[in-house]
Amino acid sequence: MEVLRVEGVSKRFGGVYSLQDVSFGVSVGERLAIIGPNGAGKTTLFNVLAGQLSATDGRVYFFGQEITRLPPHRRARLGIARSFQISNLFFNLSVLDNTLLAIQGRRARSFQMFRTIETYGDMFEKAERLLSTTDLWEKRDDLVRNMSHGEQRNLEIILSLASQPKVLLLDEPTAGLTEGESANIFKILSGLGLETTVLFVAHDMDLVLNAADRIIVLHYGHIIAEGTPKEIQADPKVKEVYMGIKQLAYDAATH
Amino acid sequence: MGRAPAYRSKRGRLHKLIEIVPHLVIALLLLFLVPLQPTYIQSLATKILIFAIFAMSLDLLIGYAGIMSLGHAAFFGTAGYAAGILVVRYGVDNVWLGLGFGILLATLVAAVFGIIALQARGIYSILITFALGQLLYSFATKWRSVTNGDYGLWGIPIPALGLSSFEWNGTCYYYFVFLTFLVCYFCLYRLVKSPFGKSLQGIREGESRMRALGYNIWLFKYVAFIIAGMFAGAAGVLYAYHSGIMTPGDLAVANSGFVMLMAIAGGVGTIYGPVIGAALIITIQYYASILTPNRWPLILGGVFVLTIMYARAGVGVYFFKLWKRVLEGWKF
Amino acid sequence: MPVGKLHLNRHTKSDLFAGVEPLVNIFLLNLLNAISYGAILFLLASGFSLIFGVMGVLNLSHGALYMVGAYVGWTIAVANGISFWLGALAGGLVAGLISLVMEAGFFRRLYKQLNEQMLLTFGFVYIIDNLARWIWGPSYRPPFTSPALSGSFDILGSKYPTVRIAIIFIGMVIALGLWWLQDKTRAGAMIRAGMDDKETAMALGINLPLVSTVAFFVGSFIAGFAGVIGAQVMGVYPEMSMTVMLLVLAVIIIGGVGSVQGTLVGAGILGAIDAFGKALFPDYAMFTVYLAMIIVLIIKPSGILGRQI
Repeated sequence: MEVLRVEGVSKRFGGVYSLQDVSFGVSVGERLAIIGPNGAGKTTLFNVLAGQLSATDGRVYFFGQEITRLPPHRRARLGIARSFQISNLFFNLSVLDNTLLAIQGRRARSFQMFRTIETYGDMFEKAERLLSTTDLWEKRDDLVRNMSHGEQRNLEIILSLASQPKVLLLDEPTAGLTEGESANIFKILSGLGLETTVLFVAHDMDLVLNAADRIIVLHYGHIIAEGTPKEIQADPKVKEVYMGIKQLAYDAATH
Repeated sequence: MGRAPAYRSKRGRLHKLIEIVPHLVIALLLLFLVPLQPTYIQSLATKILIFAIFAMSLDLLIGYAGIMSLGHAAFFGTAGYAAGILVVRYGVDNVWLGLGFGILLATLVAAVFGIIALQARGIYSILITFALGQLLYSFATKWRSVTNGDYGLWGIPIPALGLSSFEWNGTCYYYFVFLTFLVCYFCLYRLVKSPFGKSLQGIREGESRMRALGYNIWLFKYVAFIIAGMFAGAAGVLYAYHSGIMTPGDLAVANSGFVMLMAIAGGVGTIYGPVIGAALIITIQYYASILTPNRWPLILGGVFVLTIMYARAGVGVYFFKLWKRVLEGWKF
Repeated sequence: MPVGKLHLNRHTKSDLFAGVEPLVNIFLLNLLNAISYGAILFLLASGFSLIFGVMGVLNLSHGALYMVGAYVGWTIAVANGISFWLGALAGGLVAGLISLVMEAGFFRRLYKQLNEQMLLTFGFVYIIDNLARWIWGPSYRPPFTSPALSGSFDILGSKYPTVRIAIIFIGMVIALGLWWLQDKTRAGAMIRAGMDDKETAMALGINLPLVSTVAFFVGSFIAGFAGVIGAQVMGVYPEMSMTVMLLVLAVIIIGGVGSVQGTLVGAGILGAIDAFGKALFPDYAMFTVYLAMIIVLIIKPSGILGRQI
């Protein structure tokens, strides 16, 4: 059963094509990595999948249902969650408030006007479970803008997990993090079961090669390669795109 | 299957004390001290409480939902006129019916305006709220048969309470307004601490993230708009009975700006802020207009500018933080 | 003076009914009214649009600056009997100077806080309005103009005030000048770049703070200047600042912000609505203006030629 199916998706900004005729499918429980040089269109692809942008051409299917024109909040309700490359948190609210907003997001409960939020103890228990994987539970009353970058990235991921999504789109989850912090993210990801399908964009090749079942390589908006980590590592096209000038110079120097 | 126990905040009792004491003190002052004052002070206090409700309702939009509205007086004025017309032109002598009718009409207007105003984004949304408010203002000026046009709908009495042999006077009406204010304050207090209130704050802080989390932003803003209109309507009715006259100016952008001054000077994003702001602005206006009958808008404008420059969070918030620091320093 | 009423038709009405006039004449005369009124609105709104476009601030005190310009012009041209054109220039300069004070003393300290800056302008309205009332008093100053422009033209058998023709002419000149500035000069390109993407513009070496200050000054100068020009038909009175501000916002809502063309369209439509509205339904003129605003807002919220936000 395919969770996501992307068919012929293109995205144009004025005269520039950010994505061109992108097609692929994702199976349930798969860990799919999207890699490529800067500007290849990875974040644009995520924006099209999550609904922040609408595709110029092509279609997107979620469990066989077409979602191409669905607004972001409807896709979130279906079970598509994402994290953002640049932390998109509520900086003037506390860690706890951030988490609670993520927990109640998909539910009608968010319209409740007559009881204070503290009376919904179950949400707080869930927040504790989520935040205790890091030391954020201790800092739950602190404002997010006072957190370190690593803590903010942690929270960023936690927010996208809070609704127990069916599809998780992680945009550069380990960007700017130290080894230890990245390892923590990796731990969180490994802990996810097969009921959650994960697509992630990353530059960290360690993470990609270890965590991904399959890899898609984007370049100037096209898919230039697709396959298992082993296949991608051996693919000359990928080497060329990543090595680029270095390889040409090497060849020129050694001939 | 038992329900999970309510969450107990880490901050504990000290924080509760910090919050409750000022509320208690002010409530007691309003309850016991004011009625002992001369009539003009009671009248002033009544006016302050009325505008406090008005300003709190605007804060729901500006400080919580993140909607900047320049036409909020439209709901205030509509309710005031509705209540006035009901008693003056139709002789319905019942204060509860007046309140109900006024609030209902204001809510309807808010429901219509909300749909139009929330169509657009950013500056255009602000401009729409302004245009709609002014539209209603010109209605009031032109529809002379109903509203008496520029002369204003005058001679509005406070309708009967429904208790036999009860006559209204300044002090009784003050208590009536005070009670209504307490109800409104309590409702809004609970509202902003509810999941709905928290959702509004999220929308104010980051719309795109809220969308990605599954929130239907438009719906939340619309509901907030209607609720704000409802409370503004309550204030409008109370105002009509208090001042005895409704003029088209009560609907105009000048009045919208006046209440915005209060909300911002007192501190948006809190429920107590606008109350303090209303007290501040109305008191300044009153005494300044006595001291310098012609120069008081200058003073008001000056106060406003100074608040924005040096106490942006609001005077009310500033004092609350001060109080917090005093208490925290004292305990340890 | 009731708020919201501009007595622009004082001259024309009596001329219109002084005899049997074919409908075409009435139409043309009203058209001229529409264009002259539109010209004033254009001058007003273009300054506002420029300021908003470059600085991102809704300068709610723009109408007050218009009024101050008109008062200054009156002081120079009427109270002291000096040249009308000098008065117009002085009106613009004073308005521009006030804008510099606002910018240097206040806006600069609230860098990038657009909401706060807008709220500040709202406070300034109270202050400027009251100061003007203090200095010049509450009474109405009737329309005044340069002696060369008083009197009337003979158009199709009826007399049409020369001042209105002059206003149309001045409006056209400035419109052309602004359009040329916007589309044909480097300064205009810098301004448009700044409107589009501040970060990139600054990264390209455009001194955006300087451009902002200049734009603010120019926009305010035009407002003050327009105040004197408009005073030729409107006169000057204290409630003017609010009335005028509402008109500016109406133009912006209808035509859209950010371009000379948009302001022209908005001013033109508003001028037409007002002139023909006053001729056809004299009682409901203001009402038709608001109705037009609402209609545009429902169909195209960013204004007819406005940039999509």
